[in-house]
Amino acid sequence: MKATVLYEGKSHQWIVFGRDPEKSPSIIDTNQFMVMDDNNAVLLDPGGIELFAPMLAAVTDWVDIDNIRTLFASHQDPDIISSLGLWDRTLTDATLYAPWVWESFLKHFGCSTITYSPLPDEGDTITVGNMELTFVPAHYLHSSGNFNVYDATSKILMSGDIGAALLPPDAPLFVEDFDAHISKMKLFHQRWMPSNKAKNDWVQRVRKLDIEYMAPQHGAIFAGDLVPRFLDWFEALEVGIAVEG
Amino acid sequence: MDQGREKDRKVLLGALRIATAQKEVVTNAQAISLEAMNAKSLVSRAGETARAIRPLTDQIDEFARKIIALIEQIRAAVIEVSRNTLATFTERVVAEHMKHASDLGRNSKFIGSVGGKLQAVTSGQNEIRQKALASYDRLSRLLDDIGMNLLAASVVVSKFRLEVGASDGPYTTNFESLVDKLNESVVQSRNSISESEIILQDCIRVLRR
Repeated sequence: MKATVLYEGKSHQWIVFGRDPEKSPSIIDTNQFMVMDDNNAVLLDPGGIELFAPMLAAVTDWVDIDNIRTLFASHQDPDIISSLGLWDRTLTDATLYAPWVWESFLKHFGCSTITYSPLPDEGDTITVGNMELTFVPAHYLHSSGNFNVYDATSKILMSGDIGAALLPPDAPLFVEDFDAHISKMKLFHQRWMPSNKAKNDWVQRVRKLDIEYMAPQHGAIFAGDLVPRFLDWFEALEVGIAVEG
Repeated sequence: MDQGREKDRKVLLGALRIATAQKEVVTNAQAISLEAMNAKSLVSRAGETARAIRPLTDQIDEFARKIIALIEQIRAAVIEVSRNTLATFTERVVAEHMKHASDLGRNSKFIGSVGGKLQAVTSGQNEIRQKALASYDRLSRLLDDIGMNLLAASVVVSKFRLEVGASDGPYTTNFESLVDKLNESVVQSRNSISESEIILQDCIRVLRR
């Protein structure tokens, strides 16, 4: 599992884990994120069961696991959080922030020691050590209960499946050529995202944020000018195409 | 890793096979109870000629009731065994994932913090294994108990057959048919229980290994 520092500030760091060379080619590649200060670490979309061991090994390069006390799941998909039952056995005093609509579903993965903190539809802001993280509503993009994470200090928006692209395992971590990247993400957004109304509502909300990096859970990260470019592209895209098919 | 999973799979399948075998025992015990009631009714109609048979039908009926009651306990024990076997399986999977992480991160700065968790899971695994063994022992005792009751029922059915053979009343043919049905149900039940005991002992051996 490769780890890349996405942001290093005075108060905290963002690290992205992914491009695992040992990952089976039969499972989709995912990006996992960790935000950490000296004594606290937050895991964002920690991944599926298959990635638990490489992910746990990778985070121990950076943090004592007893300092991981906060988890976040943007939605209920297995590639996002099916490792929950294993983290539940590994972490001693942790809280999972996840959409309220998925509480009784996610607990099927095993959640007896981790406290489930249900996120209300309108979102929330939490403070963990030196870090302030805002859960931005992104419902129906694609899941019916879905959130992004925004950090105003680092100007990072962890955008979950929005901006996701299906790339080969050795693809660069950052989007280099936006036009070339479109073909890697167009069908994903058209087929997985069900609602134009939800999409446009999200675009309007996110345009108000000051974003340096938009980091999806699959594929490559959008940096700088490519963020508004993505928003323009996404706003113009017709989604929910399977209904017409 | 694969050997451990194969072991868990074998034990879990064993518990399921025992549960299936008990369904057959219940069906047969219900048949025994029904035939015992038919026998009682026949005894009433036969009057004095079947006097010697009456206490035997009561005994058979009592055995059938005991067997059905024991089956209820066995069902609960089989559920406990399945639950404990699944827990053993889950703990093994958790330990495997943690061990894999420890191996992958052997050079990581904070990998030591995983060691304590792995140790806790490993010691939990032993506890759960002991709990599983205790539930298997309980199930074994219940199977012994039901086996003894079926043996006793078999003896009574043999006596029944002798009494019927010695009697010379108008219902002898009916009694003979009843005895055959009773015997068949008892034999089938004993076979199912013997099969369960063999599977159970095999599971215990695998679990203790």
